[in-house]
Amino acid sequence: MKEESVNRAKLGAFVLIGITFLVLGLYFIGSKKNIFHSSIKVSANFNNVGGLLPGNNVRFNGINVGTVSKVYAIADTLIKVEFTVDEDQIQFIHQDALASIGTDGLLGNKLINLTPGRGKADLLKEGFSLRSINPLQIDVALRTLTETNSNLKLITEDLKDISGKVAGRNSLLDLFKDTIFASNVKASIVNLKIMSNQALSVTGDLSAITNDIRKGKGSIGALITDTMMSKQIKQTVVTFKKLSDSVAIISGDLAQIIKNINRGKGSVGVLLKDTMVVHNLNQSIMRIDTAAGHFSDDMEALKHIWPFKKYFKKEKK
Amino acid sequence: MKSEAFKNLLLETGDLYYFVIRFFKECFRPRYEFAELLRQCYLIGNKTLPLVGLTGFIMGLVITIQSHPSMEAFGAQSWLPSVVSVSLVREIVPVITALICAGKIGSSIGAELGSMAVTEQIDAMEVSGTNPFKYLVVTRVFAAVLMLPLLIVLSDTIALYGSFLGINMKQVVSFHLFTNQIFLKLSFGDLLPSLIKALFFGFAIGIIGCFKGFYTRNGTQGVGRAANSAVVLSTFAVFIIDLVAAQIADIFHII
Repeated sequence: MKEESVNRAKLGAFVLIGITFLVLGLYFIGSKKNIFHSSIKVSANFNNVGGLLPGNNVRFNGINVGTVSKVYAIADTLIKVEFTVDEDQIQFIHQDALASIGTDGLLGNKLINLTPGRGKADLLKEGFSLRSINPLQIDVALRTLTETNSNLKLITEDLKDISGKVAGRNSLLDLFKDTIFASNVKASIVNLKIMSNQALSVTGDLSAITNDIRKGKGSIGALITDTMMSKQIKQTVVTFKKLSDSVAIISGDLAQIIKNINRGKGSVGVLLKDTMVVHNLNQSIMRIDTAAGHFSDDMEALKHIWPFKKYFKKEKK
Repeated sequence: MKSEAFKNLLLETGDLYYFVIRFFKECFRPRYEFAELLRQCYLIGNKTLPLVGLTGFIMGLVITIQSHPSMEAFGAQSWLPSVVSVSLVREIVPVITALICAGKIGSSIGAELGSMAVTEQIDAMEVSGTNPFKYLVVTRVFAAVLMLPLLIVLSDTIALYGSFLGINMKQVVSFHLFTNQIFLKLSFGDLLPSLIKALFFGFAIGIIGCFKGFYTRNGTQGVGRAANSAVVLSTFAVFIIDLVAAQIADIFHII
């Protein structure tokens, strides 16, 4: 009888342990499938879901936040995907989040990726329909890739030709291989170095000179730094200004005079304006002209007269 | 001779059918043999656990080690825990456990009941007023049906631990990561069908062992034959049930 009770205790332990593991297993499976979490239901529309199934994961920035609950067509090119999102995770998911369909790894299960938006919208709510990006269609991408590949092939062939030519002609390559060229380059670099050294010393001198100038050494320095001189220059400028002022006054007087002349006032004005005077003047000038002609005749005659004749002969020689 | 063998097959099938019907009639009638049920549960559950646990551990370890090279060829060693755990929980552990139980429980029930039948203890029991069917058959079958799922759950646990050790022979995976990976891939659809299947396995093992033992004839020779045929038939039944269960699970898309 005692053995019997021990057996029953052992049986009890066996059953309890078995049931514990069963319940634990069911709990862990359920917790991964988000059955025991409270969640909200949201949806997104896609043109093509690429084989998404109910039960696939929903990820927000890579962490699992829910599962797909329903996938069905609502129009000929529109598929509605309903999925749950854990209430614990909802505080970071806003209404401007983007839903897209991706895969777990390269060949893994399909899943829905939620990418956060700007984060300025309200938090996700029950029944909200998220914006979506349609999935990358591998066949379309591959078609483009094929074109790219053929282009690449052409380009690489061309490149191969070019590199072959470069290798064959020894022109560019020789330049790289030539040791004399290299030594020349080296020498020129050495020269450059010397030159730059000289330039350095020149600039040093220059800086010394400017230093001297600053200290007032040499003529320019004196010029620049001599305060007496600058005073004198200042005085000169002041005098010059006075001069120009008086010039301005004189020119103002001149303008007055000219005005008067124009109006025919004063002797000069009379002279210029009076047409009679002009006529007389003309006559006088004509007389002077004829007088001058006579004078030149007289002079010619004078040349042939004895005391002057000798002089002109000398002059001629 | 051939027609006689065929006739025997038909007779046996018919007898088994009536035996099952009788079991269901008897098991719901009052006067339940609880003490005997618990004793049988202890014999089937506790006494089989070490054997089943060891088998499960070895299966978990071996399946992991054997899967490693092919998974490595795909560069998918990280998928090893998920893949191995799914195959262990869905198929390997339930079937291996059921086969071990068929060998151990089926033979012991068949031999025990067979020797009782041969020595006319069953008739004596009936005379003394105890219902032998209730006392012997219902308790054993019921114990097998109750204990098999529990054995499979424990064996699953031990097998997964064996798999954990097997994975850590070739790569380093922490226990936490391992449990995360297996429970990420496991679903109720993996565990529950295997447990429902286990109920049928237990029923088949118990009822076949009892049937073979209950109708044992021809003395000690018959006892040996009864034990033998109980093991063979119940092993066969386990595979048939497994096949049917797989088909049904496929029909209902229990993935």
